[in-house]
Amino acid sequence: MNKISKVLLLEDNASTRLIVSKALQNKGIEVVLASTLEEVRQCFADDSIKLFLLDVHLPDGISDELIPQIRQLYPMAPILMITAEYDSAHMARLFDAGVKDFIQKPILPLLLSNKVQSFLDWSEVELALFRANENYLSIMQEKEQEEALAFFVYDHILHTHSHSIEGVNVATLSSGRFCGDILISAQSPNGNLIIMLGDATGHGMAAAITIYPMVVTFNAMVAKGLSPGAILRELSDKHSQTVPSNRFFACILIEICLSKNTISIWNGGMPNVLIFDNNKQLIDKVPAKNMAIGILPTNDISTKFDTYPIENIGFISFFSDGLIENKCNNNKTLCFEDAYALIAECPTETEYTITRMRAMDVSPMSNHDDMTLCCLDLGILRNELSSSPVEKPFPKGNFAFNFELFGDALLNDSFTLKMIELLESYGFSPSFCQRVFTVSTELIVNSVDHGILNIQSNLKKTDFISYLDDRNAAIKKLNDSQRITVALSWNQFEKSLLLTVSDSGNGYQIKTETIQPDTQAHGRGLSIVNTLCNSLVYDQNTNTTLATLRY
Amino acid sequence: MSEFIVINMPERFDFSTHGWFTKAYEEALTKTKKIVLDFSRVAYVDSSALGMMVLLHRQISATSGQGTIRNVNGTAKDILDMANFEKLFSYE
Repeated sequence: MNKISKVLLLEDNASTRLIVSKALQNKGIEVVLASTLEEVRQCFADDSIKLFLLDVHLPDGISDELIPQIRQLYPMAPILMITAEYDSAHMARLFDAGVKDFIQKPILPLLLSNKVQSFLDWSEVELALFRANENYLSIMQEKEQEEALAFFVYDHILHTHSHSIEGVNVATLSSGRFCGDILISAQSPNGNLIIMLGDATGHGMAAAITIYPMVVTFNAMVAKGLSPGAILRELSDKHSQTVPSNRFFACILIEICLSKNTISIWNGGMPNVLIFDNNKQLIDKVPAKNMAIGILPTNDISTKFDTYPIENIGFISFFSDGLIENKCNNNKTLCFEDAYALIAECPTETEYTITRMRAMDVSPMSNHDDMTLCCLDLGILRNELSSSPVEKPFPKGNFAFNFELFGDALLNDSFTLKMIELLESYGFSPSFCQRVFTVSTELIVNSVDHGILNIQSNLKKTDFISYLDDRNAAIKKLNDSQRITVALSWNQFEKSLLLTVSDSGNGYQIKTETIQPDTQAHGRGLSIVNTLCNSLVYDQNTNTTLATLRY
Repeated sequence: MSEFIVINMPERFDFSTHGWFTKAYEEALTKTKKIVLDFSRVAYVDSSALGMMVLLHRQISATSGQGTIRNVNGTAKDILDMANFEKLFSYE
């Protein structure tokens, strides 16, 4: 402590004052002198005083009365009293008032100066500690506020992306405010329920934020009507685009499909999924056959789901590894099989099980991994899903489009898909758009191949490749007067879409194609169209095919 | 030889995919006898896709291999069912 310290010395006796101040100055301490209480009060403007050395009895009173004021103005400055008396009651009162120590008269200068220096040093340390603590508190407060705000935003985002459904019971025990586990479910436009339980590497905020892109992608892709396998691939793509490569996302994807009466499960790096019958008896376990998302490139991920008939299943339990790892029961470390058996004891009591498993943590006082346990009640879910048929919105307002394509423009591969995207933009369901795609592709290809290019359908019989060769040869002779017209017309009252295709060629006979054996590589087009359309008519006079598809 | 090779089918499996698909399975058949067509992403199918799959089936049969269709859904599934493709491919 090399800083020059300033000490106020209150002493009415001139010789004592001189001895003391000399001793202090020898230590390099600056001394402010006062001989009355009033002179001390006049020094109170000086905030650089680090210590008060006070004689008790002064001409204008006793220095006791200064102490409250000094404590208030200089809370960090030690107060030492110089006294010749031994009134222990008085001394006790002064200690109570905040005096740090007493220096007995007669004064021993060397002892006094060392004592003062020692108090000054200690006071410096105390001040540094005090400041560090203040700093710490303000950082803590800032961190707390920031975390609270981050959590508010995060929680809001997740909640706007999730909805709860009866029959999906979940309990979570997070190691901190932010949880590295996520359970989310969403209903696909086709009515299937898709559920995802994910566990991001690590825990806390770093884990939680890597969950966000997964949740957003999951919701967007379910809403788009993607199959679970395709959702899985989208999740993997999104993960590799957004999350650092040393962070992974273990997850379980489950699809409940009432139309097929099946339940499909994909387990990537998570504990076994437990399957129970209607009597809550464990009947099967689905282990992780895949790695967590983020480990393999998307193309190497197997999208193979394990599919089970729904009838035999009453409940399904699945959970993050925090629920079963590092557990100990009766001083015996629990292996996973033991943990599965414990969870299987009461599969539907998620809160109870999670509390019970937490109590078995090997080190209960330390931070535990996030734990999430979910139980699907298939009985309730079946009712929920069947009683809430998916609302199928249909486009309001009629519209009609007419497209004309000439010459080489007939060969635009993207035309049909772009036309379907136009339909999608009106809000038609994905499955309807898929039907329209297939029908229009068939009709347009037929018009181009048979109507315009005059390729005989039976050419395909010999060889698909030679059919292609013939087609390419015919394409070279295309001219700009050759045309096909494609028209789409939506009638909102009949909820039907009329698709008409005509060509400038000779047209083709839709009846000439007959259903071929299954092993033939051709000749299915019109039977598919017939099945997908509600009516299919060919008008020979106008050389136009009219297909009606009801929504 | 690989046990099996998965071909990830695109969203749109129609005439425009012909070149890509033929190349993909011909390459795969040099390494394996078992091919899995992953239909997870397929939304749009037409009859030429069925034609291409029949050609694939013929090549697979010639080497006593096996063709499997994985994760087929929606209209694509309806169309494959309509064509009785369960006789040519196994489903999973």
